[in-house]
Amino acid sequence: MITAIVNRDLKLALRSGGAWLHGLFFFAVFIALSAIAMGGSLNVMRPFAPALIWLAVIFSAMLSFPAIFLEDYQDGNLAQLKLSGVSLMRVAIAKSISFALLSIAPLLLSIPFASLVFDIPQKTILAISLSLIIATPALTIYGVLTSAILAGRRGGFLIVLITTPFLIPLLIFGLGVVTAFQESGVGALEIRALIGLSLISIAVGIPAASAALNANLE
Amino acid sequence: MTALFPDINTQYCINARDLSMSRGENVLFEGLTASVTSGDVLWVQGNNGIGKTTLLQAFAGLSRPDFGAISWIQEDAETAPKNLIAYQPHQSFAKPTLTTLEDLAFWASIYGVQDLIELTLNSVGLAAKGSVPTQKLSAGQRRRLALAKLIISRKPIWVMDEPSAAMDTDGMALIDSLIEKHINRGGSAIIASHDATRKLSSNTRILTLRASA
Repeated sequence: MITAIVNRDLKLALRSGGAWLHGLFFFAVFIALSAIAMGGSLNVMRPFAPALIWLAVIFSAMLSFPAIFLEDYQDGNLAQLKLSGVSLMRVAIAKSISFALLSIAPLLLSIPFASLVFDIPQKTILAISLSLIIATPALTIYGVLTSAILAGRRGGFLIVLITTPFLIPLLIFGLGVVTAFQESGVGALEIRALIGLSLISIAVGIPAASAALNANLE
Repeated sequence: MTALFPDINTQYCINARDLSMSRGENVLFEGLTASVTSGDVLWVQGNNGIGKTTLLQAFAGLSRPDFGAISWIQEDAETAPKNLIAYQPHQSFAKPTLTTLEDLAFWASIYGVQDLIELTLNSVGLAAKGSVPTQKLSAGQRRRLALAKLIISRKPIWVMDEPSAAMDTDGMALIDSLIEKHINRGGSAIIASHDATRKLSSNTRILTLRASA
């Protein structure tokens, strides 16, 4: 059931004329404009590179948040899934997997290319990638929860309002991992804290998203 | 091989008691009571905007009445609409870039009846349209696809919003024959329509919604 939903989402995205790549495009533009805004001096840019890449990933992901359930809500597919007897929790899990594959994975894959702009050392690139991979479940679940709450509305301002309180600790712990990994390796406490944050997000976010969908479908 | 129309042997019914629903400030209907059980066909009629779709959504558990209650009962126990209802909305819910076959196959996998895909497409006259993207189907063909999804759900109660809209004469006859097959196996149907009502079962009833004075 989850596989069927994910497969269909992948198929629809690949046939959408590239709409699923908007986040990646925004990511590239954000990185390029940041480099220009900072004068292009590598010495100035290098210390800020992890924060800029993290912000670029978060903003790019936020751009795609409303779309997670929007179309399925508007065209009646969500209502049909509810009536089919499929647990909305499973729908939320399936949508999380689709979102991670379609919107977050391309960003993660482009981190090495973004790092070239700032000329940062390999160990830092590894640390940024690791921190974002660990944060992916949390970032994904925040998106799924937001979209489930907003189902049927685009709500640009509401997205910022709903997700910011969740994203602040993620950003703090994520950037903490970047520093800690370079100093202490994989055993760093910050890594465990970020893993914990992602696990809590899954445990709380999926049932919450399911409840929000259910409320929106009544 | 799995039968396209399963025998529905369980006892079930929907009871709507004293329903009142509104859209914004506008009261659509008040004090509506209706019940549907095995073998029933309930035609819901009324002018545009009178609340037929709203009532159907309430029967399907997709919107809440302002007052009154709907209960879905199966074998003497209260249940959720998802166990009883298949809902065909007025708008097609086909994904435009999927082919007819892919769209139906998705729902077949959700209902766990992948072996019925071809049989169902044949039964609604879309066998030759399997590889056509749903956005290239005509409005009538999309209604047929929606009908295929009702069949593949294998639920006892079909709630149908304007099933014959945009259908040709053959299509309308097809809908009637499929509903009759469903009813004969113990199913029931609630149909909102502007068409002349047809006696599709021995227990066909008409519910006419009228604007309150």
